[in-house]
Amino acid sequence: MLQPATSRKSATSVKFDHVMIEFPIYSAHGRSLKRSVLEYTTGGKIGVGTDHRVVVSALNDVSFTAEHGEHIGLIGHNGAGKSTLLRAVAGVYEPMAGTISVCGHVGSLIDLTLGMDMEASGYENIRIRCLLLGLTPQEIDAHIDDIADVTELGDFLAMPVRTYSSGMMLRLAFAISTSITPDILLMDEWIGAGDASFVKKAQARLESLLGRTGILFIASHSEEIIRDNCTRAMWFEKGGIRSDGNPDDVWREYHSWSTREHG
Amino acid sequence: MTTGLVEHTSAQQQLREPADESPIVVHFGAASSKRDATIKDVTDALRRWHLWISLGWLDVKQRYRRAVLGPFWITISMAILVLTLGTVYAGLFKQDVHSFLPYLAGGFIVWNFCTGTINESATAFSGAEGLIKQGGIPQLLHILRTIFRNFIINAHNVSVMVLLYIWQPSLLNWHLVLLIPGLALMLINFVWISLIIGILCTRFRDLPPIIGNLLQILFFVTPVMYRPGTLPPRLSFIYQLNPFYYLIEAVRAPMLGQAPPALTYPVLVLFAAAGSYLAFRLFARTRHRIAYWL
Repeated sequence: MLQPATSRKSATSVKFDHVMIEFPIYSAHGRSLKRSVLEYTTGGKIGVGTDHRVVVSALNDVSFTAEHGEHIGLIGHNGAGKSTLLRAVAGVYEPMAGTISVCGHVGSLIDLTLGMDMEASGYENIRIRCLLLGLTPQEIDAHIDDIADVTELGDFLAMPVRTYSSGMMLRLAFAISTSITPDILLMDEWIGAGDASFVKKAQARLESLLGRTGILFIASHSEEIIRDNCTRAMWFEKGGIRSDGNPDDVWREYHSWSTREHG
Repeated sequence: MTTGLVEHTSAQQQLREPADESPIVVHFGAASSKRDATIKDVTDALRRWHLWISLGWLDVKQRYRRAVLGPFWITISMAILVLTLGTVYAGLFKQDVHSFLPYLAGGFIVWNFCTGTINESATAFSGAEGLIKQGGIPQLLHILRTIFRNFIINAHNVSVMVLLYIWQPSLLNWHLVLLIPGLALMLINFVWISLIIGILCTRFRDLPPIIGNLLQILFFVTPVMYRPGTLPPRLSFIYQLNPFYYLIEAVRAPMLGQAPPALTYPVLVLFAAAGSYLAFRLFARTRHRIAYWL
């Protein structure tokens, strides 16, 4: 198991207190200004609009506390609420009820290529990705050679990214994304760099990133990844936490439930 | 809220803070104040100007990356439009081509900037869906990016003015300095206008075409193609009560070597203050819902 390094920020924590998040489902009608105006002017009596607004509950009464040093694996079926939880920690979705308290800087590796521009050069993309990840231009200047080194792309970095192979593209994205130092790190599935020569380096880089990270949240369908890298697992089911604890125990519970459910 | 609490949007960019600084605590949901969260969003967006300028520049570059003439395509079409329309309308309105052509050019350049910005702010949030769903970026930043992108694209049109200056050097005089307060007031007004339109168009998807129509009407009631003086006095309220007239004049008049009408600056300051107040109220109510609407 990976031991998180002792960081200076022992106060890092994430606390969910009876958090509820639901998504409104807007029909074509619900998104119409005309309908809203009519509802307003007629005292809301027209149609089924607001009274029958359909909502999908994504997180339902979720409470937990994550402390510094915890690596938390999120398991569960698609649509169980794992990704919503990650995004809620990142501050994307503010809860309809309950409170989320986040103490520390959040780094999101949910989408490694977010904000990358195919027509722009590798260097330009390093800059824009780093700015998106929250680095200042001075910090980027200090890091850019290091990142360029890691990619092993050499002169290709001056070329538009659209000329890259998918493996090169992944290397670039990976090198940039692993250069941050967040207190709280969010990952949707394990990130890796495909081609064989790079794998070892990528693994080392990722482990060093995890070592710098206070709290890790990773959503994964892979039992191996969660057993190897996490100190805690949470099993989500229909937007609620079904089980929370030691990864081995949670997986055992999950499996026995799966076999019961599906024969 | 106690002093130790900071709203959520700052989480990512705090990365840069020295390691030994006390960590930030972020509350959202019931424990956070919408007003404070909104103020934080605004200040964060302004502080991260590197990001919106870079994103805006990339947008501009992306649009023109493989075009030989790049943004100057717009400039050429602008020049042709001004030349043909200017000649025809000068005849129609019985105006002197010599002075009407620069007037029309200035008006079109400024008006294009207005409509481009307002139209594109309708998709400022929906176009940035990926970034918004990743989190950590203030919402206002997407609006500033849209305005900056349009500013750069429309700034190319100034080359049409340069051609006119070569033709009529007398248009250039010290009044050009007034371009600075004029542009500043225009941009400040754009921020709140774009914010309101961006929010409403994200919530109501049938709104963007309506905005387009309204801009069309606004074009006809704002002296862009005609001089305010050519309107009969009983119709002069059309421009006198129209804030967009002052918005245009604040930038157009200095480009033509004139001072804008006396009322311009007070009207624009008032317009900005009232509009920003309204926009802030709306933003505070809806900011946390934008991600849900995408």
